[in-house]
Amino acid sequence: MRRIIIIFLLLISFIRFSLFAQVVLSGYTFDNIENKKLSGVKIQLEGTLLGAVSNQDGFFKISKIPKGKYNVIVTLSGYEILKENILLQTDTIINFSLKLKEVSKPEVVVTAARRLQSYQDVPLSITTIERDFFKGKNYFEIKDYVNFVSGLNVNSDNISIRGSSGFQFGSGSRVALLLDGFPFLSGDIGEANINIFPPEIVSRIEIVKGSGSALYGSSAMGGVVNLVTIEPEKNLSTNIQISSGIYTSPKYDEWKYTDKIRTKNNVAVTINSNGSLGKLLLSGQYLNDESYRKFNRSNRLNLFGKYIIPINNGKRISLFGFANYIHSDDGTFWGGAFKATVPPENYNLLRRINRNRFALGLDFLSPIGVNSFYQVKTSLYRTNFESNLPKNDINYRQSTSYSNFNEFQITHHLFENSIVTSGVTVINNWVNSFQYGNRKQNIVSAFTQGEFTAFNLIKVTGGIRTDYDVSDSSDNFFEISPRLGLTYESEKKIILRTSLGKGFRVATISERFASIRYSGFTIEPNPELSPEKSWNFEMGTSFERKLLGHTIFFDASVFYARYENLIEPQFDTNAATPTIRFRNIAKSEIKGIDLSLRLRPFHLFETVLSLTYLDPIDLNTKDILKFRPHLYTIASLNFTFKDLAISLLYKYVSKIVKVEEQLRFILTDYSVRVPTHLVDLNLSYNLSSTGLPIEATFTIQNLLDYYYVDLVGNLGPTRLITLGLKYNFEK
Amino acid sequence: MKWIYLIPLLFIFSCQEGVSPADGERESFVNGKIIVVSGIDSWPRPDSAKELRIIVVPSYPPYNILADILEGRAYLSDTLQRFIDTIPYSVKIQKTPMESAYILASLRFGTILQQKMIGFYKKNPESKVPDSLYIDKGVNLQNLDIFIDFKNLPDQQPIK
Repeated sequence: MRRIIIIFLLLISFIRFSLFAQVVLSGYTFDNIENKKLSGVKIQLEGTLLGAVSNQDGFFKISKIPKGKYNVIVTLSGYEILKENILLQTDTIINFSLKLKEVSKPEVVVTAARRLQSYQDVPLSITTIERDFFKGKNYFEIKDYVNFVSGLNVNSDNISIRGSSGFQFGSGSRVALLLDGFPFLSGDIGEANINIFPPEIVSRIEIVKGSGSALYGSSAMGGVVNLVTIEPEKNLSTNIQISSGIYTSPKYDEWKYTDKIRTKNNVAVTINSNGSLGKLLLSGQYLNDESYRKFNRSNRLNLFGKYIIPINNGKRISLFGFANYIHSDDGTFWGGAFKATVPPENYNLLRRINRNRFALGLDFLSPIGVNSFYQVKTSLYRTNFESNLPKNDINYRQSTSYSNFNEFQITHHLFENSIVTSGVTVINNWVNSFQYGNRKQNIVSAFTQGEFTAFNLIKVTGGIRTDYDVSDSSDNFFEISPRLGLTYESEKKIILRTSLGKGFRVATISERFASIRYSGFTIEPNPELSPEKSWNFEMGTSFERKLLGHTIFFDASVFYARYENLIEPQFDTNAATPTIRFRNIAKSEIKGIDLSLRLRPFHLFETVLSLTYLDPIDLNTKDILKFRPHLYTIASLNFTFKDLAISLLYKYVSKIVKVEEQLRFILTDYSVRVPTHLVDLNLSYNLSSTGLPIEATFTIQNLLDYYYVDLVGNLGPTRLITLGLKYNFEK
Repeated sequence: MKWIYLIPLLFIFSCQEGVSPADGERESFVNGKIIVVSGIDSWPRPDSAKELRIIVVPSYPPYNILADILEGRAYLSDTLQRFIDTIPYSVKIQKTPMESAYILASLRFGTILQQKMIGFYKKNPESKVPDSLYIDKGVNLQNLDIFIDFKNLPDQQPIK
């Protein structure tokens, strides 16, 4: 602990507190073709809290800027990002002329450096899903949007990026789930459930496809998914969404288990307000799903509120509250391919499970002098689940966990061309569980990351994070996670990037102490689990070019991850019943490529093609890692004409090569698996031109009604047809 | 650039039928444990306990188990562990549905024909006769436990 404090104090001692004379930057923002003034344009000085939004006349003004050299980032949805390096010695007037995007592509991100930066400065592969992608789609859950990112696999309680996770029995996510930088991993099982938030609160989803441990510590070993919430800009905006869908009847008579129509219904209300007292975002969602499978019904309530209070001198406080309640059947695997829509024989159909989650958080942001700012974050995340079985039933499950997160972060312009971000994080987890016992886990971390720009073309990023994990019932761990990155932007705007970093993950309380019956298995504790570690390397390029008269945006990367002590569920074949213990597998590696191409082959059409190829190998057996596919491919076609928008999305995932053979003891047709082919069709028509502030949407998910296996022993969602109406009132 | 649309079409056209009921295994599994209630020490000497298997037989009393096995009407487990008190077992039933009248634990004490029935599956522990079981297509039947008391072995049905 003392080492961490000394390292941190040394780091912040380098910070200089500037007291230079101050200048003003002002000007107008224009559209570059019609020379029309643009409002709502964000003008930000990189690495500072200084910035402004252009008003209705396109005018902006940033005051109290210390003299110096800055990168100005100018952004507006639908337009190309503009980044200019300017020297401010006196009050300056600059007009920014923005160019309409020919192809949609990532512009700015916050996750890779814990602060706003432009996409081309990030040395890692990062995928963003902008709010524009949400428009015209009648999806009820965030996973439906994330599903169309190449290399990602999202199931009910975990996310896997580039094959980082296989089948984990609901324990131990290797991907950190963040909401505005706050971690949302449960303290007991380390679950990263992206579906607990109303989709309407999301402004952008950022997915870091490589280890994020150097900034986000344990659980970010396989990547980071950060949900950036909306920051209200309008005076008052109310959004009401009502959607209803039906699952079509299965093609096979053997799978028809009911004559009743099964529905999926969603009601969501979102209110945004920007007034003199602050900015308010409130959102609520109720989702009822009768499911395409028998005994898979659920009712869900998602609530979220955020209140941003501006204080003088650039300071601001942001408070958020979140609640989620799910009441569902306590389902399991299928009864076999022959009975793919019903649970196994003799399964207790009275089993239900209640899950609830609750969180409160505070984020305080303040400048220090004029060249740096600090941020304090604190939150409490409570999760609870309990089945309705009596406590003496072998399948009874209950767990309550609290995760308290505290963070202090400081960002500073150390020299003219460099920005340093440093911080300290303390996470305390308490668990009170029938299966895992009463446990405590504390993780104290310190991190720092510096970025240095040379010749305006090369950006070098170096960082290190130390984590000290103290658990009450197992060994303590001290981990050091360094990272080095480099980006180079040629004069022809070709971006090259490379990064090398270490990742790690400490076993969750459930992996160490689980003593549980799960879908027919007995999971036994293993308190001796060591942290898993990885070294990750990647190299990539991105550029935008005209090719045969069409603008294309191309992004490619090759990656290599080597894991040690990977924690995977292992079967004990000598035990009396099918028994699993989480054990450290000695060594494995995942290498592969990521390709992405965006273009507009016709004026009204935009196409995105992406591909991820993986080669995940268990180095002990020289065999492929279980539950991992080799290939992901995504293709999308978007057509927009006036108020009509049509999108066609396609996802291919190759067949999972290898599954756990011991599953045969409890799971009928455990070995049945096929490639995944998913096609979604979305149509939307905006009636606002007729005077009605309503958007009508029509969506067919799994248009081909293609039947596939969701990881193992379960039928993936069949065809769902939904109709939705979205009412939007703005003042 | 219009050729770009051919790429996803290639995947879609390569689209197989996906999962269907016909993909299900025709065979089923019978699973459970052999529990030696008389304790580890009650095991016969190794030269009298050469091999332990579970046999799933269609009729009771059995007519000719060896013939049933050879002709695919009865099914054998792999060789099971011995000299412990709890032994998991799994028997693959290849032709289903099947009505099994007799699931027995068989201990080989000599040649392949020298077998001894040391226990059988029954729902009621007090019962003196085995329980029959309907094994549907593609099912995984669990917890069919067989209790063995080496100090009080059941009456022997001839194992031919």
